[in-house]
Amino acid sequence: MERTEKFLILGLTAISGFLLYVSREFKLPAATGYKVGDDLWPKIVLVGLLIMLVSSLVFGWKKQAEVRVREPNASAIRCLVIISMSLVYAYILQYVGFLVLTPLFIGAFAYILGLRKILPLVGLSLLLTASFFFFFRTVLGVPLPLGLWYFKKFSLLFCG
Amino acid sequence: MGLFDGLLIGFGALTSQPLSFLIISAGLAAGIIFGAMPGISSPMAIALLLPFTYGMEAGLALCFLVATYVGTVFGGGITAILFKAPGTPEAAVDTYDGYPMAQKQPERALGIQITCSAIGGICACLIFLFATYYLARWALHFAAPEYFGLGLLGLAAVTSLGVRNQRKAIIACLLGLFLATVGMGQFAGESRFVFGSQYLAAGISYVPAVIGIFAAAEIFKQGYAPSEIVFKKIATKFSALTTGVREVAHHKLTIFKSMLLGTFIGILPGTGSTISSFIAYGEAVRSSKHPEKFGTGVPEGLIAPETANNAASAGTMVPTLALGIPGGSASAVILAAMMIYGLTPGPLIIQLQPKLLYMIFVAMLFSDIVAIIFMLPAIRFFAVALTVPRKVLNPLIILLCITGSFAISNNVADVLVMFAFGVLGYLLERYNYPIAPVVLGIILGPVIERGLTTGLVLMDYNVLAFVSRPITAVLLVMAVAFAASPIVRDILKKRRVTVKEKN
Repeated sequence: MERTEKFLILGLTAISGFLLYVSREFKLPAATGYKVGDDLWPKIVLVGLLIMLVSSLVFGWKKQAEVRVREPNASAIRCLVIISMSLVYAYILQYVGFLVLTPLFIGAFAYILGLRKILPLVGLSLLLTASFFFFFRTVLGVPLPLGLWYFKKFSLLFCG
Repeated sequence: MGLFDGLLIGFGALTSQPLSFLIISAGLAAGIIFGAMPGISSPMAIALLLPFTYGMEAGLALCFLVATYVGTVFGGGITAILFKAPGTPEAAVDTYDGYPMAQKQPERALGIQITCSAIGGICACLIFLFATYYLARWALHFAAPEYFGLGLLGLAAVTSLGVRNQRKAIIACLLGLFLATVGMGQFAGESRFVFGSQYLAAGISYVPAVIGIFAAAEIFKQGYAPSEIVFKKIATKFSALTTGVREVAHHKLTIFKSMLLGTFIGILPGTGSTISSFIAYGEAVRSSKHPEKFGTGVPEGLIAPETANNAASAGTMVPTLALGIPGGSASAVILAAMMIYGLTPGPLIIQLQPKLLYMIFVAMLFSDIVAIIFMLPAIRFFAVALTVPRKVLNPLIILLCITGSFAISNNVADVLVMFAFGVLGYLLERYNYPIAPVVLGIILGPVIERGLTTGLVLMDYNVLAFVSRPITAVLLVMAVAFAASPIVRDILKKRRVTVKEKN
């Protein structure tokens, strides 16, 4: 078993234990007359998960990890940057708005993936953003976020 | 209303909408292109195209998604045969004999693939209609314990058939089941694991979760190790493709057996097309007079998996529509889409939404027929679509993920959930945990929970009383048999090795 996998399983075990502790709160009061409540199923699932995770640790701890063939161009940092960038994008989207944030996000994303020529990079990010904004807002009537403050004023310039 | 009348209604409903057949063809074409691209699986393609259906009428939207599904199964084989790079997991078996054959005669291999896919799909479609109709009518008698048994059977199948490590599959499934418990309880409506969040109070939305776990996870994987497959230009002559088409006629028995196997496996909840293609290939080898030739480019080695995986794609729609229990991960996404449109899959479909069932059937049949006419001359155009580099394609996919998950309820939190599930899917895949059980767990969790809690109340809190109901007993025995099958297989394998060593 790989070291990172061990840490992940240990973390998951701790979280499952905590959630199992939390699940006792979902029990129905005895006065209702029911012997089952909304706590039963989560408890079954979490106990099952705990058993499987612990057995994974017990049986897999000393087991030699499969030799992973390292892919060419593999980079954990690039992957971490993309994941963090995506989470930040999702978090600030409501404040900055789709029209301002998406070309930056797509541009950065394509750059990280290896698109280095400036013209295709800018063209791709602007073209994709504009076509998605038009399609979703005009054709499907989906109100993509416009953002707040100055961002909203800017986005409204393109909303007709 | 009889089945024939129903068919006329389905056909009439589609023809009454002027663009319906064009929309179905567009879904099919998009499915073929996405399916042919390695890394884009059927559920991922359906999830990515889902937002394009938001402006459509519910029935037509489902027809579009079903056509996409048919298209991905067709398309997956193209790259598997020509470049040994299966577009979808179910097409992986095509590389065994399709690729060696394509080295000498690519047109022959493609002709066989397209014809068998269409035959498998069309025949299974007819079985699909009858099976859905009668299964749904029979399932009207099902109560909570039967649904509990069905749900467990689905989970047992997805965690045991075709998985490399059963323990990892069970962990993935339990994760999915847990995630489904977030939000309102199924029995008394108690808020669970919400931690004060208004968003979580309504539960985790299926579609962002599915988009994230399939599509965003693949993008993160590409972020770790970008892969670019160089597609050589293949010159295909239309006249040469017909060689393969004609050859299929000499293998009627293989087609018939694979079609039945594929449909049956597809109907089993939780199995899907991938398992069917492997089993059909195995059966073709077992029953062949020259098994040693398999792997060198024999036609049966391509006919069996291609017929079976297309038959299974129609088969998976049976439990999805008749019982509300997805047949595989692609139909799980279609089931999630049905919920968005406020449609209720399950036994009542025959009574409440008969038109929908027949529309879907006509759309599937139409897609299979159009695919065979359309794909033979269009192969060279699809080959052009495959040359789009990953660094251009991936930003497009990520944008589809963002807009698709946002558009469900115009909520930015859905985008965050989608990315969070993307991270989960990436980590699971990185450490070889299958992701299909997570999705099935999320979708089947509420069904099983309702079945268990309501069933317990009905049975006066006697768990053993579940087994006293014949259908539930059969379903539970099947679930146990599925769950135990990898263990039994391992024991038999070890015993065989020991006997061999002794000899």
